Amino acid sequence: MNQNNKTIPNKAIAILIIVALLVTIISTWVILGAIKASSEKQFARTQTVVSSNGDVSLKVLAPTTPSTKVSTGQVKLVINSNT
Amino acid sequence: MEFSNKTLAWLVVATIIVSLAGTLISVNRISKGPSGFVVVNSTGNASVSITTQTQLNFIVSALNFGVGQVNGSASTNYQCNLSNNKTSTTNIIRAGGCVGFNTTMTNGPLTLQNDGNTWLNVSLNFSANAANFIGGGATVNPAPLFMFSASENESGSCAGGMNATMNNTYITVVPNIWIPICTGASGSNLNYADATDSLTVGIFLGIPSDAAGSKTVTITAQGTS
Repeated sequence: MNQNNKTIPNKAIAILIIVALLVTIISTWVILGAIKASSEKQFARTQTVVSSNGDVSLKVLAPTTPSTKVSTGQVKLVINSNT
Repeated sequence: MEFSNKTLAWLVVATIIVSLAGTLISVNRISKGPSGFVVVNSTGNASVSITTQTQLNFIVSALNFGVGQVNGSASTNYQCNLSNNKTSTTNIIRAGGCVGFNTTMTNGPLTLQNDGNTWLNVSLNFSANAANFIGGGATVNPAPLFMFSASENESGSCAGGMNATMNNTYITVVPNIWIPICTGASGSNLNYADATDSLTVGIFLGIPSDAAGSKTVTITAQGTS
């Protein structure tokens, strides 16, 4: 071991490694959260973007042959004999 | 080959920096979302076909003059006249020697309505004439009278105009023939629009004093599209 090796103790190296592990775990957690948020946003955008265009057409069919309907009414009265 | 503690320390620091930088870059790109969305456009066609319906109804199908008697005297010409027309939608008009009989119409005058969705030519057919319907008319009594008129119940119903011969004018009934009251090319006959689709049939009766009995006549309306 030279002089430089003694300026950073093993304890400090261990702390740095632990910090690196924590940073990695936290980074993973942040990325997963971001992915989840992005998915939700994408779903919302998809709902907005989808559109549907419809055409309604109307056609009145004329009868091929004349059609006839009848209805009846009545006129009534009772006439008593003239005495 | 062995690494010094200092070298390891720098490697750890570098690892932390790379990890943080990677996290920042990843989060930044993810937050922007996908570079593009697939836009789905769906086009649908809905077709509706409405079949023409021919429908003509007497919405008031009975006119009952009630029960009465005719005062047979020279002053009344041995006759009673009963009538209704468009000008009086509730009252029965009486003249001569009428005794009894109704003075008002329960449901109004006979009324025809186009309940379909197409223009109609309308004609009437009566089952009897005055002699067969009312009877009487012997000796001093005048001949019985059975007349009718036809007019618009709602203004503009008969777009081309009613048959002028019987429009608000009584004419003698000729039985068992079709009598046109509102006819013409489609668009000039009986309309189907709700506010302008009905006609009124007026009736005039002349009852001689020697007529008696229960009297009924049937009127058939025909609508042709």
